[in-house]
Amino acid sequence: MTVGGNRSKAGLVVGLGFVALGAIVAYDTAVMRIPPTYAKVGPQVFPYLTAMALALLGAFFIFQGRAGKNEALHADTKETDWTALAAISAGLLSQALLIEFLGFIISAALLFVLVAWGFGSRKIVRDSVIAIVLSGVVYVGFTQFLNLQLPAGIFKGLL
Amino acid sequence: MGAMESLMQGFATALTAQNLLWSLLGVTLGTFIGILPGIGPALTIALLLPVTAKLDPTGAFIMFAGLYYGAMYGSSTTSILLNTPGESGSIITSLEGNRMARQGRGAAALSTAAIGSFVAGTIGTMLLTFLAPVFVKVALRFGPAEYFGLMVFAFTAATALLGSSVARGLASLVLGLLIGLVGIDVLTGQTRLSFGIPSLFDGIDVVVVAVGLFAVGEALHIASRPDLRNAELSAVKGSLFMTREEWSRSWKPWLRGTGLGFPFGVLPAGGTEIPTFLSYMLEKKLSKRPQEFGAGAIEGVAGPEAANNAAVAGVLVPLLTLGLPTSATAAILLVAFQQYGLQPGPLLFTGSSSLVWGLIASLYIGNAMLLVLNLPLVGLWVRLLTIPAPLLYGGILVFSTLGVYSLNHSLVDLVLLYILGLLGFFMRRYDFPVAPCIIGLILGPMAEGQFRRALAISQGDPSVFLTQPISAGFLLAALVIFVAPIVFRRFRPSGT
Repeated sequence: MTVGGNRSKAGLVVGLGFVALGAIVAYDTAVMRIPPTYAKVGPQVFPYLTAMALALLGAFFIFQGRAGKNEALHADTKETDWTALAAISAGLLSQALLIEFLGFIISAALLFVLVAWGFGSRKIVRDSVIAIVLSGVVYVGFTQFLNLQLPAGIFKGLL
Repeated sequence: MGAMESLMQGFATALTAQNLLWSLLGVTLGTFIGILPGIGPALTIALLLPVTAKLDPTGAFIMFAGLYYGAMYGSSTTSILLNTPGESGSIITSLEGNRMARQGRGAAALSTAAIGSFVAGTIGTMLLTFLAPVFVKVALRFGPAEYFGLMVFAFTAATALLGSSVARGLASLVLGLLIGLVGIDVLTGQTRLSFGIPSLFDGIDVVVVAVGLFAVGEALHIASRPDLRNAELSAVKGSLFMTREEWSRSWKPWLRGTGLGFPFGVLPAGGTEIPTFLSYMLEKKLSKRPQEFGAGAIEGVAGPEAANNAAVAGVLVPLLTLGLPTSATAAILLVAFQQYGLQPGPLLFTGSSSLVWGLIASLYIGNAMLLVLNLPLVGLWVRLLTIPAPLLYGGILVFSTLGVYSLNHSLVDLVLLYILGLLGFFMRRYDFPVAPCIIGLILGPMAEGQFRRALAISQGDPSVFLTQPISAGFLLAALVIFVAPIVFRRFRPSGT
């Protein structure tokens, strides 16, 4: 961590994020309809405390960032490989969107290949073969031996 | 019934052929997964939770006991050979251990780590055996106010002692508390922070949070930094049989490390980071050759590694007797108990005594198995470290999404997994500790329940927390632990 004289933009963003979260919690708690019997120590006390803590922490990080103090937030690296992050994000989101439509085998294989690409592998053919074998073995193992259901997707009726 | 007698019954449970197999499976899987870089024991158990959902509880917990110790052994191998500690307790091990490996003394480092872990684990488990019944007796007198005080103490210990600063620890804890709020409030049936999404009514599953923050967060973090992607693997060189000199330099640090580690684990004082660090400093101070520290001193592996394992055994004391998790791994173990409808705490020892003592007995057995499994077979395990990072992380994320999806077959969980992964990534990027978040998530709802129950009993009078001596004591201790580091930091010379 760099000490002193180093303003941080991240501190502002993270701080505002905390404040916003606090506001959401406070709003959600305020609109809660509580039967009067529970009014005293009801389900609202802890959310309000949490909202307050979030807002205070947010303000703290904004202040520390603006004043360039010890607690100013700085990334741990100067170079960030955003393409790698995008590839892995695409893999995880496609797993969520496609698992029930295309089935586990294909969506998991896609995830594997995208993650491998994100980690710098460019041997797409090798990765795809490993991915299909892995997700196929996992699918059969889980559904046949552990008795846990996974979506078959387009292979429905075949496997 | 005395502790000895209970333990013997535990051995009778654990030594059946079937349960020995579960134990063997646990230690093997634990070592296997623990050795993979970036995966610690918390994640190992989280990933296996969905798979074990259909096992009988005794077998499952015997396996978890094996996993718990196994993942620790695996992590230390990785930190010695690869210099990428899988969990926070192994960071110190990698300091000297990796140096030794680079000088071609990797085998000796692995030996002293494994034997030290065995010694510390065995002594730690013995202390657990005899301390647990004492704790149970005390815990039986605890009411809601006492539990609330204890949990507040655990919160502050986790935030003040883990990570680089109190503010960041607190931020992580509050995020955990926030995630814990989601879902239906147990006492009134009100939904909180669910935004009308039905799958959020049951709350966010701890497995989703743990896998998201640990596995997905770690993968995104490593991928974002090309400088971290390819760590250099040191080959195992030298003899696994330690020389007479290495033995004589190791045994005292093992015992001192155990003495430091266990109490830190038992007190809810933030897990393994501090005792391993203290042990390192102590060995450096006591050593006749302090100049070797930083250049591969065997004491610097032996002490911290023993402290680490002793603390891990110590953590089980509050977990089993009070239901209080003080580390991320213990938090996941608590969830594992709840998955089987078991609530750790004093009543577990009366209600499910054969399960608890079977678990404790299998800790002894697992520890012995691990020594055999790790020393001669280390060459085999090391092969795992040669898997290229792209394939390794591809596999880790496939298993992560698989584990999360098979919990509830919910697509919302997979989206949450990604969001929490992003959170884990930013926490690593800006140096926030992850463990307080998991502890807050598990302990938050428990603390809230005890708080409201205590107030219901006192008919809304909040002074109950201060007039009960035990509760007041815990709250005072919490205040001290929170203020002490701030004061301490003022007087500490910079650069440490």
